[in-house]
Amino acid sequence: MNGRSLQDSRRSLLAWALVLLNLLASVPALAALPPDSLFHVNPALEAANGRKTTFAATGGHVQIVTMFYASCPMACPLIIDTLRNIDRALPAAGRSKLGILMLSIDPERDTPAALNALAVERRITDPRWVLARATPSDTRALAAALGIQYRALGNGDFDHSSTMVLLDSEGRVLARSSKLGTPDAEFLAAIRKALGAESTAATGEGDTTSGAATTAAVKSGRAR
Amino acid sequence: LPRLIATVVMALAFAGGAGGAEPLHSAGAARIPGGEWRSVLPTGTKEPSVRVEPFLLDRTSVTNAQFLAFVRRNERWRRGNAPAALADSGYLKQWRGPVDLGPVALPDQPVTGVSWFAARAYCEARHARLPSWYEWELAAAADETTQDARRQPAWQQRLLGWYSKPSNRALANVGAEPGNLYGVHDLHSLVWEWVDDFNALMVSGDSRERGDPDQLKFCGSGAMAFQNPDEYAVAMRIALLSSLQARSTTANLGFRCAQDDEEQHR
Repeated sequence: MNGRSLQDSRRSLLAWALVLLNLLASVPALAALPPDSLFHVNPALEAANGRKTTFAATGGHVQIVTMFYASCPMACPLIIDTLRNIDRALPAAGRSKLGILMLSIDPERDTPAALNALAVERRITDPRWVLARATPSDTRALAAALGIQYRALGNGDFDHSSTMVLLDSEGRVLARSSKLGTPDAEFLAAIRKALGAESTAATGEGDTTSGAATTAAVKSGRAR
Repeated sequence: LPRLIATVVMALAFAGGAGGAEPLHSAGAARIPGGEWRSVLPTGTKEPSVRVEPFLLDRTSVTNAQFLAFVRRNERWRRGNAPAALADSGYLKQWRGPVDLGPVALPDQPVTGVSWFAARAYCEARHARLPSWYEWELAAAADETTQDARRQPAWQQRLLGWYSKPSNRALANVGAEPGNLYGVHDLHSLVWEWVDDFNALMVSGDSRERGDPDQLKFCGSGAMAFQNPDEYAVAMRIALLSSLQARSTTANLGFRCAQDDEEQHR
């Protein structure tokens, strides 16, 4: 292991610690949640690193929530690319306050190990990105709360809507988008606004928009 | 025999633990044999049918009286307490008060004005669940004498006949219509009913594969995707269910509970 990656992993460890501290400090009490908070649906989650959490505990900051499955050949790699493009289009200061939560619709196969393998394969190392699963029944409830449709097709594949939902720190829906690829301008504007509203110090870092960010990692199409 | 004892013990425990909400196997639920099922929904695979495991299903829709007993024990699910994220403003609106049916909502009428979240919570309190769409569709395909009456004009007429009735009429009590082959009542004649996977019915495939993912959410183009376009009556139900949000309530939407049939599974 060279010095650089050691430094990276230290930094990532530190970042994790900060995220955890942040979580502990900001978990909203369920009773105090706004009536329209999606955190009223609050199942236990199991993250890619095996960490146990709950849906409500992922709050405390603005986040994009979406659903996917690890073995998905088509839409899911694109969802990850789209989230990356959105992330890159944000000013660095704002970006650091944005959480990205990817919930599996295939919890039977998407074990923490499988989610972790996907994170490694897709180089998802930023601790702001959380890949997690819930029980099959809770997964249905999370999708219902998020307005995401999915159906197991019986051959291991799923039909599902590729919706990204922007939540405020208390779990209220601010915006949603199903546009894959180049970031949806309206959705991006809503994210910027939310990050600005959550912290007035979110400006001045300079916009690091990168245009050609699509990694075109689409695997072979599925047989139907 | 040990299994039987275990079942009885569990039944007693559930009946006590859920505070009077009877689990299905002790409440005389109908036993529906599973099998290969040809749904009106496209399977999305090369197989024309899906496998449905044996299951138990409430013989009637959950009534106002039954749901009242549930909210009495579960304060969180009383009108006024259930958060807007889990039930919209129409939640139990036809009742006089949070724990009072009043003169309009009769005890043996099906409970309506319940969201998917509320319906699910009720079934979970009975250690049960909502039926899946395939389960509901399979049970509802039977008439009094045959398992799959969907091709019979009389069965189709019954469904369409109900749709054409004005929906502002007072609801009948549950169980007024004769039961079908399995002894299940009112699947087509009383209220719309939630299914557990209501948010799985109208999805398009991969967004890139079939063009605009929103396209199939519309009834017209969605209906094109059904396996048998002549089964329009069932397609209407799918169209309604898939237009709902999990927090939605309507005056004509109720539910019943289901459970895996453990004895048939083993």
